[in-house]
Amino acid sequence: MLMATANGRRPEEKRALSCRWSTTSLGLLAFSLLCVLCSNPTALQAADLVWLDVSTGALTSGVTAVAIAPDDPAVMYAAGRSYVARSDDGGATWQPTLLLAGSAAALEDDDALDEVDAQDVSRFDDSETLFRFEEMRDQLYEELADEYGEELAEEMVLGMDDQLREEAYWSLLDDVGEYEGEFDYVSRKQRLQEAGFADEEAELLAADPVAVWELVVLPEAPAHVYAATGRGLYRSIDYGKRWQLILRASADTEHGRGVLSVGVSQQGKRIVAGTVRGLMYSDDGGRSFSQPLGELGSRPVRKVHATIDENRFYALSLDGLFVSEDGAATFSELRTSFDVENVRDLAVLPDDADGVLVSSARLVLQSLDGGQSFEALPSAGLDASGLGRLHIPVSDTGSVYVLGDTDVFSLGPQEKSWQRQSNGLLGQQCFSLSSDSDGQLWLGSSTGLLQAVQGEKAAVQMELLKQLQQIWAAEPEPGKVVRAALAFHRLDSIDTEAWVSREFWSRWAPRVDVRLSIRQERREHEGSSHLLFTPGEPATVDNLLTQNRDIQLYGRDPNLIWNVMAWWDFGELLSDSTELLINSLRIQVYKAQKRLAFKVIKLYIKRRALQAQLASGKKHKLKAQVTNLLKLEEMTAMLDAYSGNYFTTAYHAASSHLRSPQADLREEREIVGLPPIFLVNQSLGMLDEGGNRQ
Amino acid sequence: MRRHRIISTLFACAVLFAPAALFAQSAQEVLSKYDKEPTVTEVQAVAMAYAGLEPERIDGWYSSAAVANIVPKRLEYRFRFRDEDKELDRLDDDLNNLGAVLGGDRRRDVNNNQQMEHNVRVEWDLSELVFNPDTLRTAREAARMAKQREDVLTTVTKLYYERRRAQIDMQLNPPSDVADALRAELRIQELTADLDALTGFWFSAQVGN
Repeated sequence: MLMATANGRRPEEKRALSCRWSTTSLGLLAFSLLCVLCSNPTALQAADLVWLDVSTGALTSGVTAVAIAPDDPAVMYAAGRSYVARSDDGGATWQPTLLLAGSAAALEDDDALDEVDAQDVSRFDDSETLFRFEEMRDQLYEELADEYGEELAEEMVLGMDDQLREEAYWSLLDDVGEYEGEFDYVSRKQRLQEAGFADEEAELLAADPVAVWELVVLPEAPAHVYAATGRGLYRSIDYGKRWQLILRASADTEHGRGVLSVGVSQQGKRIVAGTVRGLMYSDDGGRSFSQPLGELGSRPVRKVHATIDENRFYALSLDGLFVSEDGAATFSELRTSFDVENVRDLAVLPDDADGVLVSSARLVLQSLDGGQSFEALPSAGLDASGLGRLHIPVSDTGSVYVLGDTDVFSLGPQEKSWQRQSNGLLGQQCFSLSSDSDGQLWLGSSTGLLQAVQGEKAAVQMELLKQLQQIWAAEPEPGKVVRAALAFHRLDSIDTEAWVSREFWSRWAPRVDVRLSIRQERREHEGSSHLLFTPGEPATVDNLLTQNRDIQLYGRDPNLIWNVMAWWDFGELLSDSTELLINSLRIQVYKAQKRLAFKVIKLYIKRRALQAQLASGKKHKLKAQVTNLLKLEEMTAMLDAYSGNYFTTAYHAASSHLRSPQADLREEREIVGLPPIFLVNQSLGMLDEGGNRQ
Repeated sequence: MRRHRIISTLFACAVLFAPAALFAQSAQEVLSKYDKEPTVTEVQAVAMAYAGLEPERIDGWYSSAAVANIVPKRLEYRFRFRDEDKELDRLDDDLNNLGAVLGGDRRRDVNNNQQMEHNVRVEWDLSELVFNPDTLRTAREAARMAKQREDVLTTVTKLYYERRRAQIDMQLNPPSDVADALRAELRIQELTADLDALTGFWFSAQVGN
């Protein structure tokens, strides 16, 4: 079916989904611009933000942390999984400056880091992988024994040990991959534990050695940049050109595995690192680290925050909220009225060390007395499923921003309710928010870096997005694509609940043996006896004394014999291993479904983000234009591959019922008799009703 | 009035569109050079078939599992035919004390037996008719195949576009020296070979045609 569809599609058609962006988006942009200029441009409130995707290169793989040089807004840093990149031109172009995977050049001691990985692998091999390997081996043995008998099955399974072991390891890594989308270390760890990993393994996997959790630029020394990563704490003292690993995340040291957050004061002399094994601090510029005294244990520290007071640091761990007044040498716990376990982030006002904010699952709380007492900020308007990172702009300390899973909320100084600032967001996960001294906001998300625009630019962008909505209306919704993908891979019709029920009733059904026998027997007997006068002579009339003759013949009709036997296995009635197999299968299928759905949705949102980025009107060189077209085409092809061509097929089915803006303009052209300006545009990417390029 | 407004709107659009249109047309021209090569959808389908990962296979397995136990688990038929002819001829002489023959007794029996038996034995496992455990194996295989299929399709799509990008790079930025040209050409050949490996040399055959 797939082949037939492919053969039936012209080369132009396969590019339709992506190419329509090259043409209609540009056309729509211009048209929207014209509309906006000619109409009322104040459709948005002046304070409303619109997010514009400005990702290029490595940034398109996702941005988990953003930082801006306080002395020069043009110098920016963005980090994602395995990289830190720097821009010298306000985000127009980016260069990677630190690579945590695949490049030894940027790493100070790459061998040491590799050792950490090798050790992690050996630990998996000892426990979870071994368990999976044994599980797989048992299943295989069972199947082979059914097929070939136990003796042969045993030999075959032994011969496949290495292969199975490897498969088990990759199966484990696949599971880890599913959690890549979760940025927060603690959430990752919890999900891994829920998925069945042992505590230690979950801790190792969640720490993700190539994750960059936080970037910090020192306000008083802008050349100093710190990157808290899964491999440890990196520092650059030359605006991110060269990096030094100052705190190694080694599994065999007490320093823990991975730095989640960093706070720095006294121009870099005092460094406090929140690691997955508690807090570490240095008072000699990172030459040596030690654990602080006090009540802070060795549990993961989600966040560390330096303040304007050089000696005061705040730390947020799983157990509580802590403060240090002596430059991180000693931490004491702040008694809070809320459950700290639910607190996701901590922020401190840039100009007041007593102003502390924390975000919990549904609330933002504020303290103006150094954390001694907290009161909740208004909750109206905060309708996100979970709140995460907080941000207080340096340029406007009266405002506060908090990130939801896929939303941004802001609260002004006198406002009683939060404003959702999610215009332009397309469902990507929000990881990090940062702003420069001018108040320009930048958002790190799962699809890359987004810039907040306001005013007329925002209005133009919103108008453009409205136009894009018309095109998106023809594309199938993500839920439908996921359903199509599950159906294509035959993962939708696996109803394990029904199987459990049927399996139970099947135990009551007997085995039946019916035997039928049809027997036909013909037996003839002819017997004669003669008494003779003269033995040896023939039995003639003279010689015959008496004669008897009888003929017996019976068994002419066939006889039918039948019997029926039925028997039950009463042991199975009480317990049947099939039920366990169904349960194991249910988990396996659920994982497969989840993995596929996760991939499809991630790809879908990435594709839309790229569409929106291309439609934003940024002019590209020819090669970049072709590359972008190919990137879109590749994403479309991937969605088609996952969904068995549903994405393209549904688009063509829906688009045939929609009336495009070009059609309206074409009609007007016909009325006024003008040259076909819009046909020129249309011919560059859109197809006619027959699917041919116009 | 309306007519004038439309004309002015269209004129403004023409001014705005013209550079974009010409620009996009160039991009299209660059890409159209490769229109004769197999489409990515075709390559995906061939790779999937070559790896034996078509989802339709699973449908067949489920159908087989569903009907497999309607038919008996065991069907045995035995036929036995026995044809037996027996003839007994007995001659007894009656003798007196002197040994003289007084008379004789002759008995002759002719038996002709024919036996024909049709035995049919049918055995059903009604529990497997209610629920066939093979369904579990099929579902497990479906989940495993989905993962493999996903891998194959992802790999083949990435290779396809990696190759296309390499081709376009060579087209738009022709290498200045022989070494670079060779390196670029080798890269394309390597990616073509990768695609061949995944499609059973179908890709090269199509590109050659």
